Amino acid sequence: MQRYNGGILRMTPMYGDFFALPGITHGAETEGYHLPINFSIMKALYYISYLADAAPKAVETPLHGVAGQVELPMSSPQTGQPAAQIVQPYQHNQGHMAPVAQAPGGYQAGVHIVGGYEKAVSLQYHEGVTYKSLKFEPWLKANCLGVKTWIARTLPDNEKIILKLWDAWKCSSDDQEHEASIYLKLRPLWGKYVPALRVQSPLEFYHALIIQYIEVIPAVSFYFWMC
Amino acid sequence: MQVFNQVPAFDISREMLLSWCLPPIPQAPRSSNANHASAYRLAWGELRLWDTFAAEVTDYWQRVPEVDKTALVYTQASYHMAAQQVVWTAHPPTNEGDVKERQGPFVPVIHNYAAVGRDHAPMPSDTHSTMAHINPGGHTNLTVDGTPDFVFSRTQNNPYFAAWDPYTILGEVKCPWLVTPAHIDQVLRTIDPLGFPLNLMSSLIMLQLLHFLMAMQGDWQLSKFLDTWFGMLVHMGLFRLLKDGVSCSVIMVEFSE
Repeated sequence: MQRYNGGILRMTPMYGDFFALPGITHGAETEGYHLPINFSIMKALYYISYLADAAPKAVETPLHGVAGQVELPMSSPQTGQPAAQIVQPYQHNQGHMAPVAQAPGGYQAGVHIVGGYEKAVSLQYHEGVTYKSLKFEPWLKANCLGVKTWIARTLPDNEKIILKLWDAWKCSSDDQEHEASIYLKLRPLWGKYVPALRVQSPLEFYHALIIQYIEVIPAVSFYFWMC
Repeated sequence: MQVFNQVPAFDISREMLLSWCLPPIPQAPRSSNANHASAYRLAWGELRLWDTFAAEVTDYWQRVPEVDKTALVYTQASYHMAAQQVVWTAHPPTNEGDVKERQGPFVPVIHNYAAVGRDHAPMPSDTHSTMAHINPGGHTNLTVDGTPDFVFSRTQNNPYFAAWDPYTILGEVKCPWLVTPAHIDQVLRTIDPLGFPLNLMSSLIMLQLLHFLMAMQGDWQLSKFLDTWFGMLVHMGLFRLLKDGVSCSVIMVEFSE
């Protein structure tokens, strides 16, 4: 198998070239393996080893081709911009990539996608800061805070924020909306006892919340500082 | 102090060493049906058939210089000893770990003699990655989360693996009685012949449903296969967790029953 950027996986059939050995096996072909023609498994491994070693470093990149940069489809009713949407699965269309039209009920070509998402909630609760572009590098372990939560940065300000994501192809927006509603009820406590909610928005095929990043001083450090 | 560094008397050429078939692995009468399930789960956006692979290997090997092909890189005695360990029938493998242990002294060793000059074997003209057999707990400095079965790393002409070298390939072993060629063909047939990509993210939902239905109907074999396929996808998730962001390939090393 070979991985390509953008979540593409290339896969061969299962090759086998082991020989028949009485009491053990009748050979690879008998067991249904694809026989390698003009090469052996070890030669294939030798080739893959060369291929992988020669390949340049490949940093994960989004569709826009900039390492770690993602765009929020922020829209404002005042400016007449179209409502933000959840990105739907793509499929080839005569050599070009075109979005799949969403069928009623969320079914398209045997694929089950939750919800239609012709419109998705796109709200900003923090004035004066642009949340349009984010630097999001989930492959860096230091940025991973849990299953759904990462540290990201606003661009170009480079301010740390917390990004919480739900896979919109699998989950409805209920959880995101429920969590946002809790934050809104706690609004008087934002920045004092709870982090502030900054943005509720779709992000590519995710439901996203952007939450204030708060640096927490570990208790043990505080203790030593007091001493 | 005199350092004695004896070079083995190699008598097998690179071409011959890599041309031989793999020795088969015996299988115990009652083999485990257990699968290793990783916590690192990741779905892929698109699955494609690598249908040019055979041609690529053949073309590559035709371009390998004659001097590389004829260079002596290994000994017949060592080869027979390593192959004997694979086919040893006294304690046949009963689970995934056993299968991996059988291949550990063979595939990585042969590869490293041929590809990266282990034990002062002559290096090839081009560069290759070093293959290492990973034991859980044995490599505490691995820069991936989880423990792959094999790792290839870019060691830059050093024939020995170091955990901090950039990884280029992760290798996963699966029990041959659980993941069969027919099962993989079944997956490949799901790719639309017109080139429409299979959306694995969504297909997982369908597979899970099928898995459940098969289990309800008592079709444990197919049910088990689907479970195994999930496991394979899970292991692919290791890639995203590479700290160094290196480019990666993976080979699913297949073995006989």
